[in-house]
Amino acid sequence: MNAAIRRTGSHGRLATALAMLAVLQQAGDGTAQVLIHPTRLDLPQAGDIRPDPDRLRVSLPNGLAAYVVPDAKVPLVTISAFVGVGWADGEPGAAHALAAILRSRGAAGMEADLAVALRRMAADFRVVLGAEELEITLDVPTVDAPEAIALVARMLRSPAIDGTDVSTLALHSAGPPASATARGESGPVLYEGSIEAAVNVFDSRLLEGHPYSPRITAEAAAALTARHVRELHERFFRGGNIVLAVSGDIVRDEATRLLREAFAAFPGGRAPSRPRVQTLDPPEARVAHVHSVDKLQGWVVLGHALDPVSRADEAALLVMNYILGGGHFDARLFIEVRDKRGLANTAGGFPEWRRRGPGSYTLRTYGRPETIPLLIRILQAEAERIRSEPVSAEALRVAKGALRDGEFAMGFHDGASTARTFARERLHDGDHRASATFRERIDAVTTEDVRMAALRFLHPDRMRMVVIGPLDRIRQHSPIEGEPPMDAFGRIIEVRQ
Amino acid sequence: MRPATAAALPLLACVAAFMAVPPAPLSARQHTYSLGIEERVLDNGLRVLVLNRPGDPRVAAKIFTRMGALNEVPGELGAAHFLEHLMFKGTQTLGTTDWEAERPIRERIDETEAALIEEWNRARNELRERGVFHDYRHRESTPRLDSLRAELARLDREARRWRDHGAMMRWYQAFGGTRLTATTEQEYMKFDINLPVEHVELFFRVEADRMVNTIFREFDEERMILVEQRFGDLNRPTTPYYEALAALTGRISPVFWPEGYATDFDQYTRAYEESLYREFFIPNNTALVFVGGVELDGMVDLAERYFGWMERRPEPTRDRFTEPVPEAERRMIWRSTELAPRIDARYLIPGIGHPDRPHFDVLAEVAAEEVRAALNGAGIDARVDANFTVIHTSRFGVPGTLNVEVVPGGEEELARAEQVTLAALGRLGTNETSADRLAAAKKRLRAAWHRTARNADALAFEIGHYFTMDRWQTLEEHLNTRERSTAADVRRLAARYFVAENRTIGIVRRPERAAATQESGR
Repeated sequence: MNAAIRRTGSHGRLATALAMLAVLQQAGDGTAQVLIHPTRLDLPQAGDIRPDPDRLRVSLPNGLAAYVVPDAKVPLVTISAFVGVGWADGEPGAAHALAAILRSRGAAGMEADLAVALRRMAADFRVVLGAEELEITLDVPTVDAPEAIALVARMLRSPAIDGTDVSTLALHSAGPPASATARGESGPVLYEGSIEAAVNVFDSRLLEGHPYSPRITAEAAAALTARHVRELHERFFRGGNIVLAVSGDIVRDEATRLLREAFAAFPGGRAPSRPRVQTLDPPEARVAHVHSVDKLQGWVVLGHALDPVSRADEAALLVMNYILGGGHFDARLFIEVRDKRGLANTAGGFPEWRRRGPGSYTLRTYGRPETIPLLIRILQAEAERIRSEPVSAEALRVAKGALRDGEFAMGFHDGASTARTFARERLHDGDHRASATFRERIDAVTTEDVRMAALRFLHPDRMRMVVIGPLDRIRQHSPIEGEPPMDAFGRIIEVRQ
Repeated sequence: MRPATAAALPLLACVAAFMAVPPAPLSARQHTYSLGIEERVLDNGLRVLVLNRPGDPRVAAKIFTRMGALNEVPGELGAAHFLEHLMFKGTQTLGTTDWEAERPIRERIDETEAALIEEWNRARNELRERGVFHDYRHRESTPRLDSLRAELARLDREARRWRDHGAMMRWYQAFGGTRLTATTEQEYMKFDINLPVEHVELFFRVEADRMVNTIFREFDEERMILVEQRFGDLNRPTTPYYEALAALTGRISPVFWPEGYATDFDQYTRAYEESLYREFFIPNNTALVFVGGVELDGMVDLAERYFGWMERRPEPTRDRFTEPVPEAERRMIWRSTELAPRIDARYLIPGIGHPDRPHFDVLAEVAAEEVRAALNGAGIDARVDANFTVIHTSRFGVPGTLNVEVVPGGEEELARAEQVTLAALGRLGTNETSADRLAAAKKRLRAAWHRTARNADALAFEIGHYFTMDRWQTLEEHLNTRERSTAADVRRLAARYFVAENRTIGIVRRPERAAATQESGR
């Protein structure tokens, strides 16, 4: 400080002032704002908060495993059951029907009483079906935990299949076919104002006719019987194919006792073998399904199939997508469409892979009709850019920190998330090597790994597209940055109301 | 079940008092909430609120400012929300590669806009015609206005040479930040982040900078994002219906106004946004809220370091309007092919801070059950919900509404469903609610609260929201007061508020032509 003050002249005075400011900023003595760059705050490394799953696991005699994670912040207990079955298994529609039965009727013998019981317990209850997994979750006040655990066991053991119209349930649960354009808030979600509508249509188009399609045809639903649903249940609802997660205001010994009691008569048995399913051939040419809907915006989903991703490739793919379109303010897609141009509220990339069958890698956005062709062009251009240009060291650093200390860490930030993370990992992988090595795998990703992941998993030339919006207004647009019209994408299949 | 071990638990643990109570019959059990929020107020008025959860590896951190849509003026609705967006555009140190080079461009932008505003006002004063419906003349322009707008666009493009996009939030992400978001509603603006506890200092560094050094970059691009968000809202068929219903429900309070009209988005200026920013983003109008594995002393030390240099400023302008007592029932028939036929009954009620407000939570639960049972008994299959939502937020510190929503199976049931619903609500004002129904209502409220409190981000939101609506202490008082709600409270409030002149009825029906078509079977 004294050395700085001895300087003279205007430059000297400026230098002195700057030096004093720097010292004050470093000292943080309250007389000036502290504006040290975040990278120079000397923040300590975030700790690894992943606990040891072996200490949380309870094994039952019939092959069932449970992860019990006490977390007494509030007097609630959460019980989740993850079953290795999805809509890709069994007869088309059987899993959909079973999920709908569990959701609305619960266990055999209590059909009319399920809603009453849930209300009495002030429960949060959900049944979620995916292509390869079914989840049942019941969240209740502590005092109702024994009843809730017993209820989940009963639902898993004996769902109320008899006496249900499985065909109607399956069709309703699976949702309408992609070509449906019925109106109304109670109809297909095309009118819900959400990008999810376009995503649902994309998935339906991508997987049409494939076992992994989320939809079923009317013919398949009509052919579905209660026997199909029972067979699915008998085959997949076995001890070795279910993993439980219990968390909240409960102690391990008590939880173990309740689980043993509730699942004592549950059938044992290993998970049925489920071979990998045929992947999808890339389309011969690009195709776009465009749906005419009279709304103020158009929704765009651009993408292709994504085969199961190995553990060796996972980290680089996650880092690559984080930089490209990870749903945050610093992602390339976000900056290009929103920050720089004000075209859309958001844009993102979604690599969603499965264990045995095809998933999808999609780029998504939505905006005013006149911007749709430019949005399409930007999504494509950014996909090409990340394949051809190395990412910066800073971008790599940010992505790694975000994934390692952010998204991964959130999988263990409380009891419920910890129990869920381990339960699902056990169900699908049979062990916990993936979560045990995640941080080091992320840390090991290089800029070259990112580019190779982009080359391997992102294929602009194989993309198909779904656009839902006011097609006439979209087509009327004048180029904003010389972009081609929407119809130049490829073969256009149009659906009008 | 875990045995009561209250003595072993820290006093601040909100569960301690509750866990000490052994299981008891539902109706006999009363609960006490002791949230354990600690407060320190700096000399400059900045408030630091901490709910310590020992051992939590992360912390939900939020900065709340008492400023929102209530501070807007007609013609510039949405300006507060726009300010929130602009506060993501960076500062002199985050978001630019060379502030000293960028600064003179920013100064010229401000000067050019000042000239634009002058010309705008001059042109408006010469316009005498004011249209209605779609006959607006807001887009009238002059050659000078066009020239000034072009100059603004040119200067903005020039300033981009030094732009570092995404820098404002980049380091939150790099250091493990998640749930990064912001919200503006009628009474507050907040910025949120969830961080590893080791990195909480980053929150202070970023938010103190954002609070006083924001530069309004990409002004016109971000204006269009507000338009996009508005379009997203309008894409939902419920939005114009709810907004029309709100406009009928309240006459004066801005809480019943929509987020913005298409004509409003054109009116925002940097000067107006700057005026809001400078008036409201001051330490004595702000609270920092933390829920997680951090302690008060540590957060106060950091607050002193990063915010302590700020000076207390004059108290911002507060809303002065008072919603008048309604004098007659309001009814609206909304014709739609996109919405299912439904009935909405809205009743004006006091806001958060009023001593009766907690009892309305219980009344709403009881009312929903009563209406559901009555409709069942009348053979009407309907979905019933009771809530407090008014357009963009679920709860207010100024007049709110208690809403009862009934969606029957079909339009032919509407008239009867309305009659049964209103009769059921009326009975609540004369008949005593049973002990079991009261206990069940409280149990649902308790469970809902615990689900909120379990989530650090949601809990931090509640603490900050109460700070902006009334006082943060009101939160605990609210929870404990409704635990003590009696059947007499329910009856008293129903008798006073569930009356015809205090209600607004919205009914959704098919368009008349569509109804006729259906009836004729064509």
